[in-house]
Amino acid sequence: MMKKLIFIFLVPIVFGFAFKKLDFEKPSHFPEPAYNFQNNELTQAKVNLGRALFYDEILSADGTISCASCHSPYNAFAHTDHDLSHGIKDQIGTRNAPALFNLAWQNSFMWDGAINHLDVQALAPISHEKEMGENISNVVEKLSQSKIYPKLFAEAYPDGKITGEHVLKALSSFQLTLISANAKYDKVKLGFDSFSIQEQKGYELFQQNCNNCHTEPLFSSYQFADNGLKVDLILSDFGRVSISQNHLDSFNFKIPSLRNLNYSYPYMHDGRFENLKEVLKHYENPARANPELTNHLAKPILFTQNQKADLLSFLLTLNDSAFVFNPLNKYPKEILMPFEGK
Amino acid sequence: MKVGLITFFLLIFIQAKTQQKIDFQFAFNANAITLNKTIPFLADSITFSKIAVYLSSPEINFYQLVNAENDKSLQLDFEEIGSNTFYLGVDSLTNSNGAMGGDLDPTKGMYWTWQSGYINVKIEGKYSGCNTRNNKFQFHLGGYQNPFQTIQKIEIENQNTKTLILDIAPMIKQAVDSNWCEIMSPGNEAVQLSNTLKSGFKTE
Repeated sequence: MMKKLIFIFLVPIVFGFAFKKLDFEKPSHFPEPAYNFQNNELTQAKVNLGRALFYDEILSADGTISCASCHSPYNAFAHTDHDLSHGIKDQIGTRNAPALFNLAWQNSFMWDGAINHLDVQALAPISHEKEMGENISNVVEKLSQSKIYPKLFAEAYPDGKITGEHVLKALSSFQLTLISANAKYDKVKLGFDSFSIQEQKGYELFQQNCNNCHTEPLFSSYQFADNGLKVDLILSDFGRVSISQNHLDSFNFKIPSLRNLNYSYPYMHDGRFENLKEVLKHYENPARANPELTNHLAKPILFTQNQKADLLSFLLTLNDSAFVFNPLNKYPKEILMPFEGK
Repeated sequence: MKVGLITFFLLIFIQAKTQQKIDFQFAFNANAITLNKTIPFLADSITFSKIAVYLSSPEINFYQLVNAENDKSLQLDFEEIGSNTFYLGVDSLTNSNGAMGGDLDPTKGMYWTWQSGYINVKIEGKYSGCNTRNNKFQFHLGGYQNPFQTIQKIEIENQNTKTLILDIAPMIKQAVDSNWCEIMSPGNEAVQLSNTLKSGFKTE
């Protein structure tokens, strides 16, 4: 009897805790997020579930690839081993896996903006034959058969159902918590730190030459632009035009953030540049013949050696080690391997 | 006595409810379509292996996936679909609002994965007039952004509709004549075929 009573009292407490709304912590120097939290209220239980799913190879057809395979926490959720993404059966994709952070401030996803909402983004890698090679119906089926997931879904959703919508919204919930706002730059903006003379000079160069596209404080306008890269003749990737079918979007790719560059090389949509010196060299002479080249690059960006050193020193202040090494973002061993060591 | 009365009214209520249901039928010219059964077409015959369409009434947040494989889905709740005006396809707002559940859940196989957006209409099968591998045709019609918006407004004049019929023959004929047997992404072809499909709605 007593046990029953304890159970009756405990259930609402445990569930009340799980369904409790988690406040989305907007950094005070950031704009309002683009994500509509009304359609997917953030809760700790959903974040936990999403984190488990993000690190679980169960999402792929042969159980070998998870989201984290190409989006490693130590690479600011990019992948430094490969210039192009690496999927099941050692297949190589056509684009560089982008870093994942500050996704709540973005309205479109993928290098060509093919995806219009964070919730539905995961469908693309799950279904791509060169990435996870799976489909969402099979994923739901496998999760329903698993030992750990029915409980996690019951904690995350009032009806406890394992559905495509619930899988996707949980993945979103975890990814929405990947906020990078703790770099030296942020501390300077919030008045807790100050730039060195060299960083300050670099900041000014950045503002004059880069801020139009890599707009602070997110360090991207998250728009699309042609930055003058010559087309890789093997990949024949023309970017956003393949989605919009508007020829003005030819060679346009999503502008990436400049945060966490130290962790997220190689750079560009096809990972063609290994280091930042190569990137700066590119902007000295972007492909001028291309009519879609962004106006902001109408004049080449020419820096002296000293200026380059200043700019690079400023870019270092955008590396957010607190984010990259945040234990809350890592592989959830306690969820996915609960019996390890017991 | 009371129980009897309640049961009586309940039965009337259920009866009234069921009366609002309207049968949905996919047709090819004068033939009702049965999946995987041949239907005469021009000098040859045509077979359908998959037909599914979204009917919606976004104002009241009503979306129904009508799927030839699923008999239950071929019963329309017209009360919910609205006053003889409804849509073939999913509106652009819903296409941009993230993951949805119920009939709009991506596990239903009506959501593109390589780009965002619902597939409003999925029609697959075989016809010798299709110059494709194994003479297969595949129509995944969708697209929610201008200039390639594919959602169609349907207005039914018949007040006593018992069966709503969608004749897909005009659309198939247009596709075959234009040599468009594999249309699986948003674009001009999807817009034209969706427009033609709209003209195939009839009531009985």
